[in-house]
Order: sequence, then C-alpha cells, then structure tokens
Amino acid sequence: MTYEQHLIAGTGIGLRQPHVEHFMRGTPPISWLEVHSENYLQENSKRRHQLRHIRNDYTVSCHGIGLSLGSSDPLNLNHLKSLKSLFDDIQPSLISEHLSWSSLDGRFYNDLLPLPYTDEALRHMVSQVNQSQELLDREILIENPSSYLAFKHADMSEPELLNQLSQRSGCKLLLDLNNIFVSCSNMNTDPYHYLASINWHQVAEIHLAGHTVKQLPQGEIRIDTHNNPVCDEVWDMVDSYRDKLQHIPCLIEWDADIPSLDVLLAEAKKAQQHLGLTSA
Amino acid sequence: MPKINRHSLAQLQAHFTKHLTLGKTTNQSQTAEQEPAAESDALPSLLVKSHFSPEQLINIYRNNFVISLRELLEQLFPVTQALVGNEYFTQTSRQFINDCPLQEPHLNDYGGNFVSFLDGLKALEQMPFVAQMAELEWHLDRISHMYHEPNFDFEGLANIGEAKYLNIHFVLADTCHLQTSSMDLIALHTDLSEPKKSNPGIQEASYQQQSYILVLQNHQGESALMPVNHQHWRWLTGLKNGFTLAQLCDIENTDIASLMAQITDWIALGCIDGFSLRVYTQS
Repeated sequence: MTYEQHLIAGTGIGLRQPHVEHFMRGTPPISWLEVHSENYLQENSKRRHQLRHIRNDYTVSCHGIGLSLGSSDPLNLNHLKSLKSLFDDIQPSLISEHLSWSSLDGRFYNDLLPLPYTDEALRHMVSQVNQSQELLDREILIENPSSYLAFKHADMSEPELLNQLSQRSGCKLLLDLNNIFVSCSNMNTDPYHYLASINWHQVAEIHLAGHTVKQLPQGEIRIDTHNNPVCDEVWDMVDSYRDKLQHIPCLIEWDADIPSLDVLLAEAKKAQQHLGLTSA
Repeated sequence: MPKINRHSLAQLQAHFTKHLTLGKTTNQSQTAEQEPAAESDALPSLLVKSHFSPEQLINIYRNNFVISLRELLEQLFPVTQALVGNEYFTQTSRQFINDCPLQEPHLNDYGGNFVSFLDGLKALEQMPFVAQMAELEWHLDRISHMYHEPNFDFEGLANIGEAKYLNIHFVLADTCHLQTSSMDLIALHTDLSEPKKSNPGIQEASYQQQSYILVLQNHQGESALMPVNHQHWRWLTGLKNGFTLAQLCDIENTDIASLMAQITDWIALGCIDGFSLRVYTQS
C-alpha cells in the first residue's frame, strides 16, 4: 500500500495506546502523530493494523528507543531489519533515535544510558548512524537525551557533538527542549547557551514534554518522566526561540500517567500559540 | 591540569552496566548511599563531581530499567501476583529481571519465560498451578494483541468432497492456546480477577479439579477463556499436532459426522482458520 506523503508541519502529539480508539473512530484535530517504533514491530499485531488504519488520515513519524546507537556492541541487524519492514509498511515522514546506548554484550537495559562526549564516542556514533541510515535507506534524526551525570573525560559539549554528528553523518537533529532544560538544570549549565550552540539548519523536529522534580537530601534533581505538562521554563525557551522553532515540526510527548486526549490536544494548542502559529 | 585516566567507550560501558546491575533499586526520593556497588569502583572516579553521590545518580538509571520491567511483569501477570502476594511477586520479579535479562531491544516478548522461571523455583514446587496461571495469563495477553480476521475457505472445503474428508487436517489458529491443569484455573482466574471484599483469600482445595482450557480470541478481538471437555481437548490437541480427521476418529473412536459438527463450531469460533489434505494410512 502507498500512503499520501505530506511534509510534517505544525504541532503533533505522541500516539499512545489509551487514545488509539479515538483515532480509529474519528480524526481528532492534530497535524501529525508520532509512535514509538518498538511498539509496532510485530506485523500481525492489532497495533500494527491500527497504525495502518490511522496512517490513512495522519502523517506519522517513528521514534525509536532500541537501536542503542552509542553502544560499543555491533548494531543489532535483526532489529534494523524489523524497523525497515515497519518503515516500508507505514512510510513515516520522519524517523528518529537517541544519542545514547541501552545494551551491552547482548543485554538490554530498557533505558537511554549516557555517553561520554569524546572523540571516540563521536566517531562511533557517526559510524553507527551511517550504517543505520544505509540499511534503513532513510535519513535518521538524533535526539539529545536527558542527563543526570557527566563523564570527566569529555572532549566536547553535547551540542558540539550533535553538530559534528549531523555534519559527518548527514543525519538531522531532534531537539528535545525539555531534555535540554533537565540536563542543564542537573549539570548547572545554561540551557540558552546550549540552544545558541546548536546548528539550527540541522534541526528537523522539536520535542516538548514534562518532567518531575525529585527532592534528595542534597538538593533537587530533575527526572525526565514525561508525565506532566511542559514546565514554564521550557515554554520560556520556546518563546525565546520562536523565530527558529516555528518552522520546525513540534511534538508534545507524554509517556506516563497519560491524561485524556483532550488534555494532550490542549497542550498541543498551547504549543501552537507559543510558536506563534495560532492566536491565543 | 591533572591527567584524567581515559577509558575506552567499551570499558566505560562495561563499568557502567556493572554498577547498573549491582546495588538495589530505591525510591528516587531516598538516598541510595547505603547500597554502594560492591565492586568496580572505577566508574565513580570517571564522573564529574556533583553534590549527589555517584550511586544516587546511577540509581536513577537503575530505577528506570528495573522498575519499567517490574511494572511490565505486574501488568502481564496480575492474577499470578494476586495468587502469590505482592511481596513474593516483587521479590521473584527482581530475581527474574536479574537472572533472565532483557535480550531484545523491545519488550514485545519479555515475560514469556517467566512461566518456566516460576516453574523452576523450589519455593513453588508444591504449587505448580502458580506457573500454570502465569502461562494462562501470558497467552491471554499474547492473544489479545494479535490481529486475526477469520477467513476460512468454506468454498475450498466444499470443493474437496466428503469422500476425502478423512484426509483433511484442520489448522488451529495462532490465536488459540490449549492448556490443562489439575486445578480449575478458569474459576481461580475469575475469582482472583474480581476478589470478593468479604473473602479476599482463596482455598486451594476448592479449586482442585482437572481442567481443560482453550484460550481464544473472541469476535470482539479480545482474548477469552473457554472450558472444554476431555474429548474436545483430545481433538484440539490432535489438530495442534497435525492429525487428520481419520487419525482423530481413530484415537477417539468417533464417527466423522460428530467430529465435523464440532469442527464447524470451532471454525465459527475462529479457532480453525485453514486446512490441508494429507494422506493417512490406517495402521
């Protein structure tokens, strides 16, 4: 089957299981949808069938969490093959993965683990992204992770590594503003300096999400839980970079304690307003 | 500037995963100072100094991975959890996550071998129905996620002609699972899914009854439990093992008409979704 191909534009939401029936029965007002690739890998699953149906009415992007591009393990070719089959089937407008790793020696940790920002890690990521793009026959977007710790032996900053990675591999960037805020708060660095360091020509998608502030005896730490509305500080970042952001597809991500679809659509509308795409 | 001891990416990741799998998950609001990683102290020295301890920071990642897998097991096996109690289930889940690590970059198959894991636990040796309940729940979940559209080829069957019926092998749909137990697992499943407020406990003896169960996908696309009698159980098991109608008639000493009547019911239920012709020589 061939789906109509539209450019992704405006604000989308992450499609989550509690809301699927709304999209099976009707066409809620949202520009586009993003799915987690790994939830749709099984060809004869209900989910895949539902996604094919929904894809008739919506432009879709596929966001992966399992490629473990930063792992020193070789790429998982079986997983790439499953992903390619999904992408050939659904024909997403964008596909994305993370600047992180999640497996070692064949064991998976189901989380986005931190990379040291070294020349070696950059070379490794470039090689893994190149191979993935070649095998998938598609351009990948790479997302900045949320960080809770940093390694001493860094040769560059995270935005420098992302810029270099996109320049050397031809991948694009998925900039998660919540992740930038979470990481910078946890590392005591300036999120606006981060944003100013990014090569914006390479940014092809934006994520906005909420997080949790945890109180530990020594102070507070921000955890990227995606279970809350976008915080005021992140909206301020959106306002400050509106001119750049309003031309880039933007996604509201909500992965845990998932609210009703109305709440999610309202959050997407709020993003449209902050981006100057609709009036308040 | 002092020279920093550089580790390769592979070395650093090995240190990181070692820390990740040691220690103990804690509530993130708690300090994890009391649970330091017992080995491999290389990692803390590689981290930028922070007002949080290395173990507290690594615990954030540890919590994400262990808790996400534990929550998945709770979601997959709620009745098994009710059967053994929350404390034992949590302890067993933790052991399973450690002993049977996730080996795929997705969670689609995770939990399948929890059944054999439970079956192998010494503490549950006298309670085989716990692993049987887990098996039932695993298939209920698996079948509920499958896309199945009944499209039995009635025209093709009619074209075969009754003379060749004995050589037909009917194919059991992927959306079916057969299970037997010395306990009435369906009753136990029902009672534990909807615990009665006045009687929260279960009496093992009241469920001791041989049961034959068919797990299937109903016409609403949901998985369902259906008790079957012993004869039907043997027929279904025969179909699963690739037997022709002639072989099924042989083992049950049944006439073809009765068998075909039952097969028609199973086709209507969506349990049989195809057939093939096989040559069978009566021994």
